[in-house]
Amino acid sequence: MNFNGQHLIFGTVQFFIIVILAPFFAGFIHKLKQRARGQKGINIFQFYLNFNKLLKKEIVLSKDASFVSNIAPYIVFADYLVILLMMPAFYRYSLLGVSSDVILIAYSLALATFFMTLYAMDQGSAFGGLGASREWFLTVLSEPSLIFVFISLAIYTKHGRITDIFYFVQKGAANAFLSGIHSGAVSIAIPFLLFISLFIVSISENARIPIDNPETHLELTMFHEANILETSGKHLGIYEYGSYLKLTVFLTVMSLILFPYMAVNIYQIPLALIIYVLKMLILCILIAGVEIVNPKMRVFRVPNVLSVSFILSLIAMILSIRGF
Amino acid sequence: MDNLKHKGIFRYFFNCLTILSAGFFTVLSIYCFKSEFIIQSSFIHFSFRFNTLSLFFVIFISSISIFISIFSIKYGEKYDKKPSLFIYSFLFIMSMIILVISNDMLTFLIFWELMSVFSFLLVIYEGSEESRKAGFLYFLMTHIGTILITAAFIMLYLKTSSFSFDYYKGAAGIMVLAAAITGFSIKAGIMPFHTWLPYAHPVAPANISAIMSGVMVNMAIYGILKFLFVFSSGSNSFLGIILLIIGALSALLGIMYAMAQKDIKKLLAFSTIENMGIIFMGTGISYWAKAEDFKSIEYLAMLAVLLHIVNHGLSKSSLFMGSGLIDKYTHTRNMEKLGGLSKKMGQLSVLFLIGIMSISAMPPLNGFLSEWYLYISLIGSVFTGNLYMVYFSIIAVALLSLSGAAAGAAFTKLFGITFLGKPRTANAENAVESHIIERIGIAIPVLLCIYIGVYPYQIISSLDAVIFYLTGGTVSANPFSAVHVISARPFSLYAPALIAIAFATVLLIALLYLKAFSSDKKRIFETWACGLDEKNSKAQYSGSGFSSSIMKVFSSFYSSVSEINFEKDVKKYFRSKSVYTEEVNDIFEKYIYIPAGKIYLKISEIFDKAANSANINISLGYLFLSLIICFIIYIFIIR
Amino acid sequence: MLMGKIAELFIILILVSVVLNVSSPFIKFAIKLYSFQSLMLAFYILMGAVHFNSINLYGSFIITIIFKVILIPYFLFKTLKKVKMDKEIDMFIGIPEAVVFAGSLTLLSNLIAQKIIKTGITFGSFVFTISLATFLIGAMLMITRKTLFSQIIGFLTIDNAIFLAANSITHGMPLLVELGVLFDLFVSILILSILILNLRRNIAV
Repeated sequence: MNFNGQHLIFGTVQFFIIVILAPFFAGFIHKLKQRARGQKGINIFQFYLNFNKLLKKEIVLSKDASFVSNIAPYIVFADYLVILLMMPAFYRYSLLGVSSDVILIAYSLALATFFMTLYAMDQGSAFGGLGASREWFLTVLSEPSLIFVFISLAIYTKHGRITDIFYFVQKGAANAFLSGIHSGAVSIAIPFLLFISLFIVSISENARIPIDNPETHLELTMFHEANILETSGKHLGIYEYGSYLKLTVFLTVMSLILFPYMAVNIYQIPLALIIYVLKMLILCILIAGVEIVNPKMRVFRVPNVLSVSFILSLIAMILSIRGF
Repeated sequence: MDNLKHKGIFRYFFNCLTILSAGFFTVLSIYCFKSEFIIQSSFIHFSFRFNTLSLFFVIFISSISIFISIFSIKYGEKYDKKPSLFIYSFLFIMSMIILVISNDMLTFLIFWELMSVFSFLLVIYEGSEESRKAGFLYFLMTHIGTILITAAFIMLYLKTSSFSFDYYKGAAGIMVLAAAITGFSIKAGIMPFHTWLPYAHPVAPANISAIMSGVMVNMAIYGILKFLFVFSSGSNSFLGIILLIIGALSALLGIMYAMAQKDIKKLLAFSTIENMGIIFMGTGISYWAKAEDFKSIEYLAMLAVLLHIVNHGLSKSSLFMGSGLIDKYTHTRNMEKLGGLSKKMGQLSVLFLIGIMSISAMPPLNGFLSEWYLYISLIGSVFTGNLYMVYFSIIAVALLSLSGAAAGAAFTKLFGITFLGKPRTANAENAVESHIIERIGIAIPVLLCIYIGVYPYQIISSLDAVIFYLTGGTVSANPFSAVHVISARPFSLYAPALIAIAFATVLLIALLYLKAFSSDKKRIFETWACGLDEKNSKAQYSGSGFSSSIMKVFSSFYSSVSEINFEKDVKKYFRSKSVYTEEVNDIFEKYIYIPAGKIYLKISEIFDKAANSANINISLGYLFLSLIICFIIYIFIIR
Repeated sequence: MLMGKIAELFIILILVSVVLNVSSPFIKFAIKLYSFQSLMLAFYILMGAVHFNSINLYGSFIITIIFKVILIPYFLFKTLKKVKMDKEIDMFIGIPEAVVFAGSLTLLSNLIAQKIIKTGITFGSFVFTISLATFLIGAMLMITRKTLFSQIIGFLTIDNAIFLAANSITHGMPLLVELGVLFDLFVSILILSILILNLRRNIAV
């Protein structure tokens, strides 16, 4: 894999496009939910305006806060940006693609959770501990599924880096369609199971109904929101942008499992970009649909759902090792 | 003499002596590499050899001892009244260093026993009831382990008729290995032999706990590596699978129990059990790959094991030293009584935070590196297609990922409840910052953690030599492209320096953007407490509350008893107080050890009555019965 | 080969539905899952029928749809309404533990299938794995749930699994045998539902 100047330029372009599009997808989901409820709904680009507004406000720090409150927001934000640097959304080479091991991605997500929950506990309020405890509850239950999904992909395609994995799946699918499906390398069942499993994990990690309500104002019902209850100003803006970036990470991986089409040279980039945006919008509609139809679940029923996602990824892993 | 004692003469002298001797042995090992020493007199015969594995362990033990000695130059002030601590710790460290360079069965056993005895004396040093009980349990279990190790060595002697390790190469069969591994796992604290560890490590003084957790449990790993890779005849692959599963179960159970603890040092002790489980997993994979002749997995898993030994030693010793400082300046080990220490002990909290990030395997620090290598070895062993290993690897991956996430949760609880928030009692409010020397003692291993995490190329190339000694091959020239087992294609790559640089760059750009487009105003105000009294520090989360939801999901591991007591005849809005009690029991202790202890006591009672009864007929009868049993054994069993 | 992949998908959906059965505490959902499972089985039989063009399999497809997808769930729903039970099932072990146990049963069935392949017998090992896993998980449902409905659903799942295994090894059973099996099943369901109407909940027969 020769990493030359062209890859550098278009990798950077890809990175900036994904980062800039992140609030748009979150806003799209929000607008769909509000429309389904019969409200007129916010502007799709409202989250950009919110970010701008928050940056101009002042930060209010708690009397009990320490150095953690000053560094945690930036570390979380930078962490999500680094993960997005590794993600190949519509171009085969990403900037950090050479070192984009899937396990690194899973543990980097845990790093962001680590600092966010430390920030929450730093505030010295009951809600901080509540948010931190619940956030780790969800992480402990969904991390085995996430790692199983990634390792199933790695075993199925015999590659460990996320750019290589999806390029291999794309090549295999293209070969199968063009030259008649006779190779056993393509399977429909494995991506199907991985998609469902990853979908459930995405709902859990991105604080969506039916596991967590992202729009709630009642502190006792918050999982994720309770961590950032005390933030204000640019810290809050960064945290919210970070949650949009996290949503983009999960949606991008799901879109690549659904239909991997990555541009290999510059002529395919516009088409790949359009297909990428379409896939993401379809996934946004899917998530909004799940959010609209379901009520929020009781807390101790959440392990039931997450264990389903675990066993689906386990079945996918069993299927992917059958080749050996 | 008393005056000098109080000025700390013993403390300074023995700590400096430790530093100098550790340095001396390091230099000696490097200088005398690959040579052999024999000290012989009329009936004493000690032989030592400096080979690569010993060199690695000598450097490891010496460096950590040096850091801890620097730390205890100032920390040991409160132990000046009973300066035997410093003498015993010096002898303890020396016995460990000489243990790893011994080349002879008797030398090994003598220094192993010395190490156990000195650590026992150190565990009971504080003299309280708790430490006496912990010391007794520790003494008992470590000697059961020593008996098994001695049995293994005796079997080797019977086979090769020699005491020296040089003749043991390839001589160990399955019985020897089983006895040795069981004996060493008692010392390493692997489930189900871990019961002594959460009692012994918290009651020892903090610098001793740091040595015990960071270094002494690794002596058991040294023994296992020597038995499995140098002495074994190399064809029992299922032994590797057993080690893998036992390690994975220890990792999960260790961290599950860690989550339930409110004593800081007990939480760290259970985390030691978890990390020892991870090391056992790597050893199991490596041994299995050696038996089944999959070379690249063997080398990679061995790299994971050695790197994890180093990483765990550095981070766990710094965390124990930090907990010692917390204990010293707040006079409590109970995290439910602390809080808000990050404002009173600011620099210590920064160092502690980095230590915690390292031990919960957060990228880009060193803990993640060794855990990543373990994951890659597990995936590699799935690729081999061996019928049983594939399934056990999948189970191991599930347990490892669950324990990784739970480790993050447990250490967030530790740091969050102890250091962040408001102080919960006067202990925490009156804390003061620690002395600069103590902080330097912690800062050095923490800085090494960061260095190994971000630029590990140096240490991996040094570990290559050890891997070559143990397995006969090295990790390929670029160890980060974990090589696919079947073909030579690179499977994956992790470039820590690149990730760290990217992180820093992105952070810089983000900060610049924010500086340009956001306002800089800042205001300090009180935390929102729903309008209630914000000075109530009890309104914060407690440690048991933090872990309660996770403990409820995994309630089958904890046989816990909790109850709430309140005045029953008063309506619930008018009660003045209620008492909540929660007791978490270790299921191994409750269902295996305590019943076994009771049965043993009952049997001993029978023998006691028999041997010391007032009735002379019964005593004589038992005496002659034992004589007849010996005759029967001689006739029928010994040929 | 595309048909083969789609058939694979249907079979996987059978296993998915049985796993969802394990993870859900609601009786109505379990009956709906059984109906879905039988539908997937019917589609698998249909693909076999189209591929081999055998009238037996077409008949089998129609019989499965009528009985297993429509009639038996309808009876179970009627019985459920008459008995007016609580919506939730009592169980001996909790749901996450049950799901982990189901996962280990799947691993076990895969191990057994791989061992059989090693001895050289060639057969549809994928379908065998899934049907064995469904069988074992259905048996687990029967053992670890307290309500009679769960035991009926477990029994029906086992029957589906055996049917699937039989269909994969042979090219469909003779129609008469199938009709006999199905009538037996139907009658046992009728008897069980009558028994349920006369019993309180949680009493095992």
